[in-house]
Amino acid sequence: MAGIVAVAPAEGQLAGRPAALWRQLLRSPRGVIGLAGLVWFVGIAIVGAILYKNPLPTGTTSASVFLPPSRTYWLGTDQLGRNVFDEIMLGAQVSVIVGFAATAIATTLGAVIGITSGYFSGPTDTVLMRGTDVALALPALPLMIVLAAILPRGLLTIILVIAVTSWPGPARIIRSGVLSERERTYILRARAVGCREWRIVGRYILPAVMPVILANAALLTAVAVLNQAVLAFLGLGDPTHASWGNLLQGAFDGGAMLQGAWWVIVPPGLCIVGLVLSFTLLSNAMSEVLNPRLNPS
Amino acid sequence: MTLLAVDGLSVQYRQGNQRLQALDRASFEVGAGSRVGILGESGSGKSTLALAILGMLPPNGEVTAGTVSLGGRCLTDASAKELVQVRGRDVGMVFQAAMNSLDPLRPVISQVMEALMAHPGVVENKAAARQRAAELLRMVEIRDDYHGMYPHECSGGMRQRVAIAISLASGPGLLIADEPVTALDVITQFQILSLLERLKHDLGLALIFVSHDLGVIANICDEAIVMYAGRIVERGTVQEVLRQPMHPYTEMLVNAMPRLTGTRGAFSGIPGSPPSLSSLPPGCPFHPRCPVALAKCSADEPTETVLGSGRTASCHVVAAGVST
Amino acid sequence: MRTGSLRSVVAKRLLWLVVTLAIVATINFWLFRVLPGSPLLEITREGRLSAAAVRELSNSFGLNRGVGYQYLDYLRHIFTFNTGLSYASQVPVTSLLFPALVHTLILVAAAEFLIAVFGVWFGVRAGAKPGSFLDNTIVTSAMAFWSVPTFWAALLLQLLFAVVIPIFPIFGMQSLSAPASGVGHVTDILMHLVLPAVSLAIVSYGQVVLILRNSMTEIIGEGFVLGVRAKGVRERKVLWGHVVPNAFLPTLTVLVLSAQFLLAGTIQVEVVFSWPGLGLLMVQAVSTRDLPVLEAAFFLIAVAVVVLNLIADLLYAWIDPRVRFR
Repeated sequence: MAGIVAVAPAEGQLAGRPAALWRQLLRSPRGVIGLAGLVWFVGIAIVGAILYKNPLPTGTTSASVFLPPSRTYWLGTDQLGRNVFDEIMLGAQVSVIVGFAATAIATTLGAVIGITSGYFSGPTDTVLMRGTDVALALPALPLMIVLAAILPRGLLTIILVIAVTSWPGPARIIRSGVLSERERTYILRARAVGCREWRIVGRYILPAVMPVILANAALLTAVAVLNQAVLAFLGLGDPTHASWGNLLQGAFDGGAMLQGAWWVIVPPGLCIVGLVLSFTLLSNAMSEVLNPRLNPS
Repeated sequence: MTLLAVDGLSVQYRQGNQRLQALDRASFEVGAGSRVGILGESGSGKSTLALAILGMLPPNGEVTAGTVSLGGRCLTDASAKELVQVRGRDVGMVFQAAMNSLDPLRPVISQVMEALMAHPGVVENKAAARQRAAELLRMVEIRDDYHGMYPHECSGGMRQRVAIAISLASGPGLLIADEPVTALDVITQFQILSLLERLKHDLGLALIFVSHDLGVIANICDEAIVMYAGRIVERGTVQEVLRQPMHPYTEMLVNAMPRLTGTRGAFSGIPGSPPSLSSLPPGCPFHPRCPVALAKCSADEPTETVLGSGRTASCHVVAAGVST
Repeated sequence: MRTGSLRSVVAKRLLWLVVTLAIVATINFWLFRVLPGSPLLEITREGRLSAAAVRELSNSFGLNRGVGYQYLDYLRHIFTFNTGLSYASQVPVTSLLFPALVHTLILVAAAEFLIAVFGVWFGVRAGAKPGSFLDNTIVTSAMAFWSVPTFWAALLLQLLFAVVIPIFPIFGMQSLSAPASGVGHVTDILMHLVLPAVSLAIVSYGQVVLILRNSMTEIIGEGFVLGVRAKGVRERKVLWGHVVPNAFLPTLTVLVLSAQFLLAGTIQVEVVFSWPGLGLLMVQAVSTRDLPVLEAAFFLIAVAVVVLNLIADLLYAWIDPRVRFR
């Protein structure tokens, strides 16, 4: 039945019109700002990777510790006398890499489970969903802390730990999307005509829920960046690679608060906020594009 | 005695940067106790008319011209506060698919009670409201043991009857019903229509009945107004309009109804579809689909030709026929 | 067509609670005892402890017996609340856990209160006029605050109000100089509570605002709002009597899901302000490798979250009559 193709999705069905969605996204102010922010930070990460290498040089005397911003040190120095500005440039990579990698894993896993569960229903669905429910019931940060404490320190651990706690969300959301898509007339027609199930999933269901997957992925990336920062701050991050969270952790433990060394505290946090906000805005803009009711014209 | 007078009412909707003329200079009157049917397809402006009367247009709609007066009081100029007092009290409204006009979180009797207590003087206290609500529900033939139910536990017909009870709670003189039976099966339709008939009889209720269903309007109304693309194209008594339609659109509508008696013939319909409001044809909006269109029809908009007392049609062909 | 009773919903949920707790306990067991490289096995193998200590640890954790036996032993320990001794301080773990739990609950309650008040207030204002300037301002600022890592918000507040403008205490729950009971005691605790609670609330209120605003926009678009207006009900009553209650239902779900978010925030805030709660306890246990404490704290937190979910589910069923049908 290779030649049989189901009739195109009914009007109002946004799947299969990615170009139109893209254009709408670019028209919304939040979408544009989000994208701009994303490009900006990825740019910083790339520049930082080229210009600097781990580890950064520490200060030579105790007087070089916690120096306020000056012409030599644009953002001052940290508890070990290192140049804060350099650290921020260098630390961008970790946030970006962990954010994307953890999200990719979690989304893929969530999509596989969500689509299988939603499309094939029956006992598969029940088992998978019960499993997802239990996974959702486990508190995220405590679990991440425990896992990060048990497993060897490193970037890969962080990525895995974050992915492991993030997949249930997308699984549920994608499953909902699949459930509503599955009942559409064009799918029923495809099945009535004898189209094989996996083909239907690949050709129709997947593209149809792709917008939902992507909007959710943007949000997930925001969460992943936040989680990486938190884990680093709690001392569970990767000590060999500079990151914004590590920077804050070192400063806090090193007594930055009591010294009033705001230059070590404020800039890394602003960067984290900036990156997370970019993804949040992007995700918000994407879901508005998908659900115009929330955005009265 | 005229209860409601609509004069030159025009309504526009804002969509993006476009303005759509959903209603164009509609004028008609409703006398006390009379039943007026507003007939038209989807997009003809009939629902807009119903909503505009009570100032209940959605946020992107506005009245751009004309007036609506109720018993001498002007509603189009009225403030939001004054409108709130009119709604439910002087004019009741029933919507299509009443399943959606009831709050899913409250039992039906409490929603009737809310209608009773919304206006001062209808009932003295909550207990009286509960009693009266129970009476109203009984009046629309809902058994006592169903009074405490939630909307999702009731059938479509029951919900519609609850909506009718709600609309009559404060004793309005006029009821506007927008496609009240469209979403129901034929048997339930019959029940609801009989109910409306009985209410008219017992309460002397005036009725504006909006529908696309010729048969239903023929059944329950005295007068008929036909709408197309936001304009009134024909009006008269139900007998006149349906037995001797003057406007080509009305004539084709009437002919489109299959007959159970008489000789068998082919089905007839109206070719084409109603124009989109964003791209109305020039002149008479019906001319692209009209079998008897003249050259004039694509250029000038027709005005109302008076054919008798309360009988008009907006059509160049009719106008030409009258003047000869 | 009668409704399902509230009782059957409760019964079903309680059953699910028990099943979930059993699964959580099993996962906990697996994490700490069975997982290769599990800290207990690691420690006993590392040789940092004397042979006698290793034997004692192995015995108390049953490591020298089969996995099945360990599991049963573990379950027995749970039911008798026997969580062993803290490795670091040699006191019973329970004596550390429960005071910490209380302190955390105080913090969470204070934060939830602030979140509920500000979240609902802003959420309804935004939802009532979607697309307006007010709406956009509220939504954008809510999103901005949500993007802030809780620990950073805590750090900033600490910097600002404890170091630069020293109004509030910088850490801990009580000052040494404060009275041990009475009004002075309570006031002292409240003063220490302000910064941590505000840090928590500021980051999390945005979620409530967003979800409430979105569901209000949806509800207002639904038909029954028109029906209520047609009765002649005043606009304020339409909003608060009908739209908000209906909009609250999905909000409730998110409030529960966001409890996890709040939990994550609590851990961070406790670390920054040295607030002696479960979060701080857990993080300290990681650095001292105090495994009995870590394991028990994790389990306790997991149980708390599951119970919270249950309460929210039941609340939902009570408010929304449609849910009882299931």
